[in-house]
Amino acid sequence: MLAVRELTVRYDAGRRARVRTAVDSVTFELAAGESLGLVGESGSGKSSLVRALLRLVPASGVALFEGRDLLRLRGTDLRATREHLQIIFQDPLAALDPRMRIAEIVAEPLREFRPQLPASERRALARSMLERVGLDATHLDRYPHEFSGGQAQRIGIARALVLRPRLLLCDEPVASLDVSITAQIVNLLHDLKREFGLSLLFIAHDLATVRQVCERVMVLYRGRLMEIAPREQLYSAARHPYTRALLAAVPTPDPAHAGPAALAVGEPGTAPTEPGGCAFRHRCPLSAARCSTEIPQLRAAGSGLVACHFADS
Amino acid sequence: MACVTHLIPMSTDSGTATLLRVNNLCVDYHGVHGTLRAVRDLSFELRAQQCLGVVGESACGKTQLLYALMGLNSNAAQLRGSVQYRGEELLGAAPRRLAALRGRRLAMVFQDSMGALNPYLRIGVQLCEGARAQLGLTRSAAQSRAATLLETVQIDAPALRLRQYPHELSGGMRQRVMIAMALMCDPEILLLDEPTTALDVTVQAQVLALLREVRARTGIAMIFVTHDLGVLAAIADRVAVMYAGRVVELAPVARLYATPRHPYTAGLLRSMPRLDAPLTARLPAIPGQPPRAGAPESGCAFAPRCALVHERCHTLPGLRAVGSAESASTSWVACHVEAPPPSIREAWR
Repeated sequence: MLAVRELTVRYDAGRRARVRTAVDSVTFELAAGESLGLVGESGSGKSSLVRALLRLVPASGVALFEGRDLLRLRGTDLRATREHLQIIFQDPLAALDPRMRIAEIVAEPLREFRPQLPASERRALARSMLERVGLDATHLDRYPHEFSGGQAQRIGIARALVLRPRLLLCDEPVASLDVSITAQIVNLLHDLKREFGLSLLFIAHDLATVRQVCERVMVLYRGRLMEIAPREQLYSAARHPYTRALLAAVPTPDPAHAGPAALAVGEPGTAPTEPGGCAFRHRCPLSAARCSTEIPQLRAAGSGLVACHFADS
Repeated sequence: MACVTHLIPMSTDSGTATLLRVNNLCVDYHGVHGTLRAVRDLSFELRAQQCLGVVGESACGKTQLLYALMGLNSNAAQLRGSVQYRGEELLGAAPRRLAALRGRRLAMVFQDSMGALNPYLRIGVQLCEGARAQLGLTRSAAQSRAATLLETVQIDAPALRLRQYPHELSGGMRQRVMIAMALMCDPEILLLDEPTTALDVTVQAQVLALLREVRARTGIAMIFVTHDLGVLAAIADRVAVMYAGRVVELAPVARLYATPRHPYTAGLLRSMPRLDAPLTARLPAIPGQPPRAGAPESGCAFAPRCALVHERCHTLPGLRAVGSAESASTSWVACHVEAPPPSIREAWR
């Protein structure tokens, strides 16, 4: 359904600033009905990748969505494709126009893409979608500020799904929600995915949530794809030292557990950025001379792919 | 890593001293729409060298609690009850007395390090400000102390960092600076308000390891506020679970996670996605949503979301001791249900 080849996003901050490569030649595929997780620390390029697919930032490479290159579509073709790609955001309240009523917010995509529908029909569709995500008719004429974060995220999901898209991009949809609400939204996405046959590209920094939602997971570091693998493999036998570090750092709600393990050095975005070699080598416990001269290429590892010279050790 | 000899050494006899005793603390805000009760009837003790974890969702009153201990609530807040530091009443104490205690005896680390640091001032100036005022250190003495503490919190090239501005540091480094700043005057109690929430999970692990090390070396007492039960499991001795301004459960850390007594605690533990549990298609979520801050209550605030709700729940359940009544290891729970059935109690196993 979605085939991305060597997607690259570069930000040029002006004549004298250096160009920053946010996403560096990332290649992956997403099947119909599949959910693919996208994890990595801040600055790893997760959001840039999603924004590039939506054409919100310029990018090079190829991103075939049902056979058409998202990065090269123009005019009416681009508009027609957008109907099938929708997004939900991290901050659900900021994603809703504070001056619009909920029914208008959810019906707005219909107004854009189904202008022939009478307004009453659009409202009815919005209403049934709102009911599907767990809100009711009494909410239709209220304003966003009257809702909690969890409810606002439900409204965002209703707006994204009202056109019945085939691909839903989720940019940290539960990161700003309360603990008891996160499980509700994760379950809702799980149910809607099955009901509507959705594909999900699901960004999160929380690996436990990604495990719950996604059948396959890709790991980005500084814009490069480090590892992509089916859930079972990634969580039980991660090959890349970076993936293993991310997993070890997840706190476990069990005092008998040893506690989260920290990488000895470094933070995302603080290591030097000279070109060549593996992007992770400055923080990597397995780093060797080869890692600073030779960029590790993606190669098969089990049923996934990994970019590390020493993934087998 | 530098040795932390200048901080308060661990002494065995102070191990049981009660540093903070909070009794029936209430924080109210009176407004045109009535009274908003942010913290309701809170009581607990903090002993030397202990780390008390406070966990709860947004608007449960956990930050207002820390502000009340530091005397930082806005003027609109009305505080009732009692907060005693080593027997001395802090509620209603003279502003000068509170100012003398802040930083020196109780110090606080805030969630948003960028918001808590002044962007116009060098790190060194901000680190030294408190120590110069509180301890009367000279500029150079304060600077050298600041440099030592930056080493303690594992920041490279402290001399360089002291001359830098907050925006030149990464988020994790800024949070380390905040911790170093809180330690500048050798406080006895460190109050931490979501100190790792804004950090990447890898950096969170580093900061937690640092806080554990500071604790082990100095024996400093902590109140660690967070929404994340995973984080508290790694650092707290006892955990207080807050809901709608009240403590609904308070227990030693091992017991709270193994046999949660309050349905809310059990529900939180069950609904969290976690890497050490078998994968299920759906998470056992708690239905409904937390009440708004300070919403009026009739009976147990969790009742509308509770699987064990009963007629009795229309009356407010008081905190009652579970098991032995001897102090340090007692659990407290505010629920009418005597012992929740295994299906609720079993967190996930």
